[in-house]
Amino acid sequence: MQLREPRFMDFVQEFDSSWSVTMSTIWPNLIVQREMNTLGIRQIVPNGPHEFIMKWTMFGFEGDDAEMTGHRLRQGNLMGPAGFLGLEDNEAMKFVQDGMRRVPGKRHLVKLDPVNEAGTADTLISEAAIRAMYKHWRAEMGL
Amino acid sequence: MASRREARLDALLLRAEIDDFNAAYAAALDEQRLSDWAEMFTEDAFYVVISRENADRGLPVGLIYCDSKKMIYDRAFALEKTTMFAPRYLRHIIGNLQVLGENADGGVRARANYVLTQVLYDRPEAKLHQVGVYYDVFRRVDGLLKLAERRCVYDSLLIDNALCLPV
Repeated sequence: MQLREPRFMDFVQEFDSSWSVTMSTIWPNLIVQREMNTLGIRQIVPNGPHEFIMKWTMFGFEGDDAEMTGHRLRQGNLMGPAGFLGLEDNEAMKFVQDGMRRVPGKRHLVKLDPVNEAGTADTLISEAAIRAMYKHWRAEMGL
Repeated sequence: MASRREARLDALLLRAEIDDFNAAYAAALDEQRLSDWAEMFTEDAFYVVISRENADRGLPVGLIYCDSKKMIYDRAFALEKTTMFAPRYLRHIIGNLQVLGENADGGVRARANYVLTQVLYDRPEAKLHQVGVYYDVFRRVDGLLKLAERRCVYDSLLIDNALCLPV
């Protein structure tokens, strides 16, 4: 299995960082993502109990030449709103939501990494951070 | 007089050929024959699915952005073999074809409106997934029409969950 156009996976070193991918979630509804040479933000706007709008903004830089702009636009096929990763994220979130709604009593918990209840984990194979986020969210919402 | 008639016939034949092309294009996507879809483009083809909001402002970011047939093929391959998404039926309705003219290099400019409906298996009814315009450039390769450019500019302000399959 091979890409016919591997160029879209090229990584141009732009920053003094050893990471090619960084993402941060800023409470309560902003996600800032640098995925290789694309910089994007996702804003989550709730518009009902079962729905939200996700607003995507992808950035270019003032100093980019035509080649670099082209590269960023091509790389948007990875982590843009319908990118190879982005579209699976959108689908996965719908699967989770659809699954939750069909659970009797509306309560549902599958624990990944039950050792770390909520907070920081030493491994990425953990939902401790997201449990902490929801714990805080429930407190803020008075639930 | 005869030559004017010839020119009109040529124009009608070309229009019919593009109409047939668009019907075959819709059939390939509706039947999710994505490799066949990729074969409908020239090697140097440009294919983008872009919001009207972006297109009107001259902003280039598209949902799908391919500047070669290789990229179009990679997208088709990924969707057929590796990408995970809910099963669905799509229906592309293409109409209001206008043949706009010929470029200096022989490329034929055209436009057509499209309506894309989607049926997901969690609901019984078809939903309007996208409405938009194809802005096209066709070129002949070995006598057959191929797309050298297709810009799918959609009017819809939001996408229902995800754009999984091409437009």
